[in-house]
Amino acid sequence: MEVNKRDELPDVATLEIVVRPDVGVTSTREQFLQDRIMRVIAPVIALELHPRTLIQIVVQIVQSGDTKILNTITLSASINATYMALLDAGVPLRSTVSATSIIYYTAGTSDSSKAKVLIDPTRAELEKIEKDIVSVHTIAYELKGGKIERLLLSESVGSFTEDQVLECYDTAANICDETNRTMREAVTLGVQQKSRWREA
Amino acid sequence: MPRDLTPSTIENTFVLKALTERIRLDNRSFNQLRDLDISFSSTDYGVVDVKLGRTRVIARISAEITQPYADRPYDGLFIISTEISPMAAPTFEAGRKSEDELVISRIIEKSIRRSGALDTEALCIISGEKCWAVRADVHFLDHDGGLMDAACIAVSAGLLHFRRPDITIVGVGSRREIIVHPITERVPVPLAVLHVPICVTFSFFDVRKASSAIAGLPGKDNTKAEGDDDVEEENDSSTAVLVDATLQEELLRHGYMSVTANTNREICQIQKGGDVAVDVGKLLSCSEAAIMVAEKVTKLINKRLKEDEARRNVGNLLVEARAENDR
Repeated sequence: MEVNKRDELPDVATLEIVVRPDVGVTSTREQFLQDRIMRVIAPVIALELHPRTLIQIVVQIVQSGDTKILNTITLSASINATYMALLDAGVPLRSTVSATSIIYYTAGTSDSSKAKVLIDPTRAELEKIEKDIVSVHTIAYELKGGKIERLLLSESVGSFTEDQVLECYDTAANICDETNRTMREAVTLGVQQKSRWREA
Repeated sequence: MPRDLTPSTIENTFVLKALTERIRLDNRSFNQLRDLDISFSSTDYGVVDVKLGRTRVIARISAEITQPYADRPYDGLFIISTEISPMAAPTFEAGRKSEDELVISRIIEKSIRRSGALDTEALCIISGEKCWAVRADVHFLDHDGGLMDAACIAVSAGLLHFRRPDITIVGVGSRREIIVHPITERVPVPLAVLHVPICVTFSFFDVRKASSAIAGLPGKDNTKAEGDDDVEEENDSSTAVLVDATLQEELLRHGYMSVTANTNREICQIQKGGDVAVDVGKLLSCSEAAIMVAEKVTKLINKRLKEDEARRNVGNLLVEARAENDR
């Protein structure tokens, strides 16, 4: 797209991310999401291939999977959705991205080291344990050739130990790998459907 | 800075010439709506997904308890937010209102809020202190013309589908308290919707202007088609009236008129724009057509609502657990 003169960059494409809430007007929460998505997505897009243009990404939240105090599910889902949208739009990418949410909660005990783990929960699941949540982690990995390449985002809120974070990284790596494969399947299917006309 | 969409001259003459021969590019007749699909969220109340051809709009109704305006202590609040993001089309800029957007939000505001579709007095809990604030957020996901028609259908259907949590007031005087019962505890309450306004947009094409533009092009058919029109329908030939224009038709039209009607044969709102004169006869025929469309669309909304309720009402629990009587 054509870029605003003010935002034009001579050697790379300008990246704009707009996050729109499902209810109400844009607030700091959306700004936060915009910022995080930008940090994850920007290093992955080959921006230098389209200098002096605008790549605009609009993330519209239709139904938030988070409870009022959280935004981890929305963030990880937004990152995955943004990545899929970029693929569909044919924007050149360096590698693939996938994100996941991990939640630690106490199951009746006050000892935080015995906390239980919930991965990518639904809203109903979240509402049940909302009061027992100890820490929330949103993690995004970059994958190259189906292998974990580097950590792109590690957003943690709450109280947690170092071991827990490291454990989180390991779990997230597995989940991201799996998510990536699911997305790959979806994309393959989509491409197959779109290029059906070639076979005829 | 996003640029406005500008159809090419070839597109322009092609569409207009087709219209002089009474053909639309998508092979619809002049007063035919595109395929309309309405679906409700399976989990939440008041989330509607409306697809009108390739136009897609999602409306989300929500409610919370606030204080009413000081000058209207008996009225609840009803806000419709119709901010168009670049999600709909890249021509819309984020955070800035375009002229189109202003027109769209005004028409929706007039059609639904000011026509009294939602009884705001029913939203009052304690006069002057507490009331419900109902909020309709309209998300435009895809733009292929008829944004306001789709948005109007979405909000109307959303209001019918929405359920607010039940409340009880305990205590007296200043020690009154409101207890909000979660949806899982008590059967939620529908809103007091008085009528279902449906907006229909008619697009006018000045065929005479078009044929003079086409006249410069080679081909014998132009002159013939033009002549035919003049003989057959002396008055009607000057303008072609289209229902539910696509984006392309919307960009090329010379004038438009939005009519909002309901099944009680009431006209809620009329808005006309562009430089095409509309006489009384045309106004009446458009209103009549709008009422017909409103009846058709309302029927579809009700059908979908029934299907949705049947899906939710497993084991007839919703009916049996309800406290209120049928009126």
